[in-house]
Amino acid sequence: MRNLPDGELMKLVRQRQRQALSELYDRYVELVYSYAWRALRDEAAAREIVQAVFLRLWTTESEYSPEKGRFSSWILAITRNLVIDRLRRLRKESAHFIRPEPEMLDRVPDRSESPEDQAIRGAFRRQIREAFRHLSAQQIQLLEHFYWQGYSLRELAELYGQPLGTIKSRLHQTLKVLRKHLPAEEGWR
Amino acid sequence: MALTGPHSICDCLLEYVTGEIGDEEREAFERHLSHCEYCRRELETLSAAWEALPLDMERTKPPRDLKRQVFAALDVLEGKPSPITRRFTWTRRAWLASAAVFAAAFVLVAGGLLWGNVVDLFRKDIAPFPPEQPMAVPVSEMEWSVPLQPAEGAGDDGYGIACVVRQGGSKQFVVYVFGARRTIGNEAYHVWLVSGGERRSAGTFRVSDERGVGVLAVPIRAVDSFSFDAIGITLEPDADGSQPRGPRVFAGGAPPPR
Repeated sequence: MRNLPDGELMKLVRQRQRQALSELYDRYVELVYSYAWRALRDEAAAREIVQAVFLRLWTTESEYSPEKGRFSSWILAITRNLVIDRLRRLRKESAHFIRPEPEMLDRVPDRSESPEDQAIRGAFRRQIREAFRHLSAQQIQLLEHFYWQGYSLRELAELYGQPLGTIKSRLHQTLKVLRKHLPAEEGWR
Repeated sequence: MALTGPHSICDCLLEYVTGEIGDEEREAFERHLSHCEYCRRELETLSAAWEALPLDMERTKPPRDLKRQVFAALDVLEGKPSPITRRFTWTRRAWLASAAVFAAAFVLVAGGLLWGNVVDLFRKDIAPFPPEQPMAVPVSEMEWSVPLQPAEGAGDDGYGIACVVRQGGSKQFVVYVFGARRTIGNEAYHVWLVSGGERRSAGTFRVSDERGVGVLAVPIRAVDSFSFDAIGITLEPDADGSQPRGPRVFAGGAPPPR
């Protein structure tokens, strides 16, 4: 199992092999948990997202195909959908739902990773942070609202009091700037 | 700045990249991609940036017991306490005693098994579920779950989850533990829910197999927002008590905010 690529493991998962799911869990739980924690800032909720993501792998009808991209992107897309469902539900229930300020986002529970992992992750993070320096404060806020907090394009149009087309243009432009300042090679992906 | 392509469908590009697109539109857009160079080029750029966004997060180690929680949830979804442990017992007296407090939150049709529907449960309310009974429909959805940790001093082999699962139109509150000590004689595990400073019984179950698996499943009203502040499981001399007498062996917190 250990040497199998993600796509092969996913095929085994579809044949109901728990060991394959266990291996995928070991490979990706930290990514999924970190994402859920970053977006929700709530341990119980982050745990539940992790559970939902891996149960979804077990029951999903949709196929993962390696030609369409990396497994990590695929599993993050599933994670983001579940996180956003939750955030939207929370927003619906509580008009006064307050998001943590960006500077609070760096405070995380003390479960440290190994120095090597830290260095690698750190390098990736530095690269994207570097690219972020080319964005305006408004563009960063737009990404925060759209990507992390899961406001839909329509909700953002309402929130910012701008036409939908303008929001889409701004987001499109923001992503283009970001791409331009990320390293050209695929190493960071 | 104009960021639109030559065709009106090019306008769906951003929705496509970010996943905010319906199935029909997605298929149409994918057909369109094969003959629109503008969209192909932009798609590559936008996807690369989009996929880089999650790099902007601190890596956080997940709690160590989370894997057990996930696989316990998988057991519940698969209806898989092993066949011999599919027995579930409860006593009429215990249920009658707690009926008053539960009337608001539960449909007290019967205790029963996860893989039965409400009608099945009602029919099988007295006899234990026969092991040869075939498994029924798989459970479709878990609404939420909370991990159950061994209580202090209870040893740390056991684990469990409490969850609400939806199956068709009905909902059940399910408590699933493993690694619990086998019950002897009349002994029973008793599930208590604490809510607003008040303790209520959710029912009892016994553990008879070597993996220490026990299951309690109670149908609840689909419309109810069923919740609690804390959950505890005690090992009782019998299934009849209305207050805990034995030691607390598992404990868990409130369900996450919905």
